[in-house]
Amino acid sequence: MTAPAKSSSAPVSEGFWRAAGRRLFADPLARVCIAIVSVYFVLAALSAAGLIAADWNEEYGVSYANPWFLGEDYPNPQGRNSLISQETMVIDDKQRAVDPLAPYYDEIEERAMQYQLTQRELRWTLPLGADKWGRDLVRKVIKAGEISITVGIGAALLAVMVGTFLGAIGGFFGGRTSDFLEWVYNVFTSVPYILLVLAFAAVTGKGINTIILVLGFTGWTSVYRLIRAEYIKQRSRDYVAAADALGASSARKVFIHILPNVSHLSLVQLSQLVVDFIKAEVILSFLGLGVPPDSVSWGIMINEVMTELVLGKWWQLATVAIVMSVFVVSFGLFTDLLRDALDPKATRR
Amino acid sequence: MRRLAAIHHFTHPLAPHRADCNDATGSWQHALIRMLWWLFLALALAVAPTIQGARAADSGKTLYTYFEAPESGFDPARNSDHYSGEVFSSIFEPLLTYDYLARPQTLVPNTADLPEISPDGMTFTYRIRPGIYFSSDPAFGGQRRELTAADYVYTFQRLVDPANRGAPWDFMFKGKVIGLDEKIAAAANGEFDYDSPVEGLQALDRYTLQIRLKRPDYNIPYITAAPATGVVAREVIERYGDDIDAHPVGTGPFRLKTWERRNHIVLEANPEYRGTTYSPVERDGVEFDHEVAQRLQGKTFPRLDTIDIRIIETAQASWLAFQSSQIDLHPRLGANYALLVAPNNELAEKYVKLGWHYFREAEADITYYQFFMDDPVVGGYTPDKVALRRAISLAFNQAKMISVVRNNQALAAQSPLAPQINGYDPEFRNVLGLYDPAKAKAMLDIFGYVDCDGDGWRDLPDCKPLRITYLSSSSQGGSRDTEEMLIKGLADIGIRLDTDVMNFSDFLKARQAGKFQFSGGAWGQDYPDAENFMQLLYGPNSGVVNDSRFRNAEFDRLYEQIASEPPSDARNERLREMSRIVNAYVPWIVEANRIRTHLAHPWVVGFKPHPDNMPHYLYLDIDWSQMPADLHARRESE
Repeated sequence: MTAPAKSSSAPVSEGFWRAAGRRLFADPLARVCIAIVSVYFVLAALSAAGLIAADWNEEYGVSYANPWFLGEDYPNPQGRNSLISQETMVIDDKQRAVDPLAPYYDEIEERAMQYQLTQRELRWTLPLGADKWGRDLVRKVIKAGEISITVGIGAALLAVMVGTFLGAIGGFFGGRTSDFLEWVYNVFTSVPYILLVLAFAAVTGKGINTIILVLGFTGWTSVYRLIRAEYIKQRSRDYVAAADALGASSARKVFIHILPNVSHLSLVQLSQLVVDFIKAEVILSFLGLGVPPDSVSWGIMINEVMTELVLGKWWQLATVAIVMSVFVVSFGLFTDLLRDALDPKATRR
Repeated sequence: MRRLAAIHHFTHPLAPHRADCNDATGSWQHALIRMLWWLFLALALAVAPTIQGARAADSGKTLYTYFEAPESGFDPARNSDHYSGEVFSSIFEPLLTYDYLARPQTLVPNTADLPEISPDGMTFTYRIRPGIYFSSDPAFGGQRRELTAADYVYTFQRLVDPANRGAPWDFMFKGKVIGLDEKIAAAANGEFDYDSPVEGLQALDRYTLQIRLKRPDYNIPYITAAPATGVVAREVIERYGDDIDAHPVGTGPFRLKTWERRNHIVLEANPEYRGTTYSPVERDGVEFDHEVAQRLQGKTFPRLDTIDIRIIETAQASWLAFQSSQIDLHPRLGANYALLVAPNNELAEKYVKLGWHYFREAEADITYYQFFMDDPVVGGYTPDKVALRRAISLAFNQAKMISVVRNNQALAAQSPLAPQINGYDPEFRNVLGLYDPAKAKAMLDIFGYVDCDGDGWRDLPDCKPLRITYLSSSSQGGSRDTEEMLIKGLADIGIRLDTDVMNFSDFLKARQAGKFQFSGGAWGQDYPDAENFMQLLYGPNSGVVNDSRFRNAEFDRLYEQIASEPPSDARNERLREMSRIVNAYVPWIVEANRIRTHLAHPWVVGFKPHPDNMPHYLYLDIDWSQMPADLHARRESE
């Protein structure tokens, strides 16, 4: 380990990660960010486990039910639409005459009786209001968060892993390996991004896993470039030479010695990519390759908002904007502080 | 065949052929610009000595408007998308036209008088008015070119020539005119022979056109008023060849000035146009808008010098353009904006103060969902197959679709027909299609669609998994609302629905090739008769026209009857019977007849939306006195 065990009070020198953790938790801002991000992760996990928001797709309120603070009397002409009762119609003889199912009418009626259930009473206000179908925005935003965070983190992790690995190999070894990876990199970046994404999406099929794979395998290039440059810089440093002199293997030098010294770059990229990928998911959904229609994400919610605002229904936008920006900001700050904490040369504390 | 957009995002109003004419934009545009430049020079020379007795368009009057989807080209025979039609309807003239203000839609003479119809409804004789000239073009060798009956003979044959991108309009004459089908068949292995005579389509003399049919068809007068039957000159078609989309030369009030593909179209008044006046038709049971009629009184049309059309695909952008007076006319507002502008079918106070003209009416169109009737799962005619489709239709909450997705800007469709057309019965109800999930579940239970493997989803009677795929188009943002609703509705009754999204062109191709199970569709009138809609379900039309491949002997028999008889109560009853058959067998789940909202600024004179959905720029005018002075000054300086 190359971390300087710099500690003024502890007589025993502590490890790199422990020191980094201590530095991180010493920062009140980091604690707040960690708390917020944890809440999101816990909610996402609970939602994924089906413990909360599993019924997000149910209609609890009238169409565009108001948030609680607007009260029930806030005008909501769309809400009345949810309560329209259908006109009753009798099947006349002429219709009966051409209907191949006419002999089964009685049987169908009889059996249908057992399915008649009382309809849920729709509410005119919900804690954060409802969307056009009358779905509760609290549940919806939690479910959407689960999908978006899964997509964002999953794809970012994948992209960072791929980018870091290839960047490390390319930067450290140089020569033919580097040439080959440069060629791959050039091929990837020469194809327009959307086309590349579409090409990947076309071979992988549909669904949330697809989005993660597509975004991950197309988004690694920026990480690769940075990490490669960093490895080229680091590989001639003294500590690497020292490790070399001690007989360390290439893999050890690459992953044990140099990686911790460049990991802050990967982490910064990670936080950036999480945000980028959450946004990219919106584009994919728009192209029909994103989140399937029986699911929801923050991107989808933002997409829906466009038409709602014209009707003066701002609460879905407010909800998703606040929820999403709090997450993005906290996550960004957290990653930033993590970078500081992990920086071996950090002298702030 | 006007394939329309089902929701402003669903089926794009573009014909399947659009893809092949738009790709080569790059080098294309340079060639085009060069060509237009030469054309302009040639026109300037050709026109100079021949401006005589034409009309008096006020110079400098420009109307700015927009299309919400791109056009494809201006050759009527090759393009069947709605927006190309809006343009070529102002350039080319069919034999007849609709009275601008009369409702219901009423035919009036155009280049010909109303036809003489033989008592058996099989022979139609048109007298073309002498002294109508094509707008000048180098193809005419500097001569004025008069319109003759032979031009229509040529034009109608072009509509069935498969070389014209598969002849999207062939249903208008194919199978009807004596001797024409033989020619089409002969063209299958060679070029279409325009020169040999067709028995049922003849120019008796220079100004007399005769159409003779194999069976009576009382829609022929309507068909000869459809913009696609607008007359073209053979010299022009032959001169420009494949570039004809960019060279529309007609006898109509406007001609194409400049064209930036899929971006900007400019029309200018045709100096060769004979000029016309408006006087409302007087016929029993026909009403017209007196107020607009009064404003048109005594004027010679066209009044406008230029029509400037931008393609603005985003509803918000076109709305903002209208608000800031960048466009004078805003036809077809997005549903949300329609609600914003006129919440209770009345123009909101602040817009009344601005003097906006506001129009809202049910359009002659229908949106629907269709099943592929040859599909082993959702197709078929046995009671168990019918029950599956019926259950799906009962799980579709039409009322909610219209109120939530369409913001109540639509009527709940009850039959395959549309308002404002002959044979549409506003009292008719789809009594079998009422939303009722309990009944749907009962039906599925009875016919054996139960959950065999305990995964929570119903299976087929033979216990194979029941999965249905809904095909939709990604154009204009896709149709997520619709898909969400269908998926949820079907999930409620235990059926799993997958979705497959593709771009509009592929979507149409897949549908027409029968590569789908369940999909959306929309249709707008080509002519105001029920036949134009029922043909979509007529058995022998299975394929490109009848996408669902619905075949029902009784329906087909009734169709053949209604296709060859004039409107009557008995015919209307037959149409109702056909609707009942459709509602019982459910090849279609009928959804909505859209209500459209249109806006015009106070300085636009004479605007009135027509049920044929065409813009009728001919009768529009700009009243400078109603325009704010600064805007007027800005327009003048442009």
